[in-house]
Amino acid sequence: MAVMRNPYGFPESAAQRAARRVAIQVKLSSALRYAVLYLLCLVITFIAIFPFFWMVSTSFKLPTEAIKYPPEFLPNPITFENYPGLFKYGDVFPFHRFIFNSAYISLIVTVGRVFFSALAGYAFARLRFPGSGVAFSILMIAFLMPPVITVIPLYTFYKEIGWLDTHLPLIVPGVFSTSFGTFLMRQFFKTIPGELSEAARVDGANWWDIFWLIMMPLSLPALAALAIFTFQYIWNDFFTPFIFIDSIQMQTMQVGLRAYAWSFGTEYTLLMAGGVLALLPMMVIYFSLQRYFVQGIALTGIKG
Amino acid sequence: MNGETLAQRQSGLLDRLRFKARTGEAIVGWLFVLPVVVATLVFDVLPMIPAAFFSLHAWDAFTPMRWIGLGNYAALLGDAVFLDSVQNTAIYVIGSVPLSILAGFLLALLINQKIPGVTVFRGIFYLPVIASTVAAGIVFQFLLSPQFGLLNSFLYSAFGIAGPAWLLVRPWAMIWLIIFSIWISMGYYMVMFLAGLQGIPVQLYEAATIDGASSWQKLRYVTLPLVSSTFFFALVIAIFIAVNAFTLVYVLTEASRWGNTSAYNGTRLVVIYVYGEALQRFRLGLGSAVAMFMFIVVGLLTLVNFKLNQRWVFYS
Repeated sequence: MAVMRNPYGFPESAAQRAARRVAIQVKLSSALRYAVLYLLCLVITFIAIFPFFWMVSTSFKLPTEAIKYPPEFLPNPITFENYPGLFKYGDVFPFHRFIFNSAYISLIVTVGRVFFSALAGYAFARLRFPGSGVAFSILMIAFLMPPVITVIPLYTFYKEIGWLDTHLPLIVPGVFSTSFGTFLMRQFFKTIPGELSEAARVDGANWWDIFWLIMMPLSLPALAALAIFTFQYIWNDFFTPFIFIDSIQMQTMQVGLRAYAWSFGTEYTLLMAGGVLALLPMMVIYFSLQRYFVQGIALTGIKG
Repeated sequence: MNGETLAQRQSGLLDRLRFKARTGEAIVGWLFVLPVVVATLVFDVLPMIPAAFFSLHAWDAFTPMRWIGLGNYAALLGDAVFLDSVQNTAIYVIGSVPLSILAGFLLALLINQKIPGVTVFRGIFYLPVIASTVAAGIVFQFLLSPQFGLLNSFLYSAFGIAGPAWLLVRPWAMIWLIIFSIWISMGYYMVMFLAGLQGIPVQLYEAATIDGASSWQKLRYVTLPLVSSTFFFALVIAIFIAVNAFTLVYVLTEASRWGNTSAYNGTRLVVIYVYGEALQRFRLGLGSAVAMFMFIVVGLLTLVNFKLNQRWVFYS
């Protein structure tokens, strides 16, 4: 009788044969499963990044190449002239000003908002004071306030106090009016064990010391997440500068680029170079600090 | 002799100390939250009051306000442009909200699979979320441009079809607006659902496997109930974002109409209408009336959402 042999040289029973067949099937089906999953991932990757690819590619093309039919996917020849070309309109479209304005506003607001969010979040999480419930519900109301309802009163208010066409409507509410950041930091501080600050209390530390010397160093991941969210929000914000700033010199990158697209909508290679510049800071931050993004979203307490 | 025992005196002293500590804590607490609370009141909450006040007046920001009662609201009901913008917003909300959330959920299911390199894909899928809407809008306009866009080039070379000016005509402008909103937000909902999915104990799936549940049954009877609260949260957020959409519309389809105002592409949403009436034509009273209307609609939708959530959201 021809007995099939396994690698160990023992005769294989019917049960072993069946088990081996099943194992092969499982392996095959899991290989198939992997193939399908990877294929799906690749398709979605294409959808998610193709517009970015096309933007970067076009930004290195010659103007005639960008609108050529049939289109070519990679720039040939590669030109670097579109990036300096953005600045050719000087003070009519001062891209150096747009970049500077966006950068300094985003940095100030990020640092300020993280600090004041942490300070308030700490108090809401750890200190007992009368009226804290009311104060916190004010922040929650702000959460649900559509921007469209505040924009007209704020416009007239800023006009009254001379803030229109300055950076103050971006900076002051940006730094201080931080209901989301406060909520996020409060959620985080609640997860830090209370014994630590109790011990520090007993040793005579005051509330500020506990906040600054104990709580803050422990919350670096949450602070980083909030900083990234804030920078992203302020850097990408279109609505606020668009409404409250008039003169082109004062504009931010997003509104400046949109205005440029309005005036020179067919200069695709320059537009795409501008788009790359408008994206670049966030992309750099994103790829260097990716894990904090995910942590940050998980932190807002939206677990299932 | 004051008649106090030592113990009484000690407890009195302790009380005073506790009182002092508590007062100190109260003062520090208020000091710490004060900047944020005051600013939130001034910039986010209190402006509601003047908005309600303006909405009862005719006002152009230059001449004094004139009380007209509910005149603005009555004018809105007879304003075909406003009613059209309400209809457009409804179409946009109904189109973009369920699809964005569904896309995010499916992406989360995909990313939650144990396959090597999956975190790289997670990073890529989230990319559109952090992108500047303006930059993304500009590249979409380029891709969809009637003469020079990649889509129409492809349609022509592959099928010999001359594609339309996608962003200038109905119904394509609205369809692309919805696609754009899904593209931009799917990664956001993905991460949200991922947090929900990863909070589900593995033992539940193991138990279901032992009971002979199919993949579909596991999804239906284990996963879905346990992420239903995430669905609810995503729904509240997505409706809020969609009803208040401005930048997305403005940079994609509204901006495409510039210099071509005869074309109407059916994407003037309510917030765009408010912007045009209040801040371009300075009809601040009318604009405020729309804002109040929006506030009530958003509030009602949120309320309905919270009422209905007891029916379908499962809290473990």
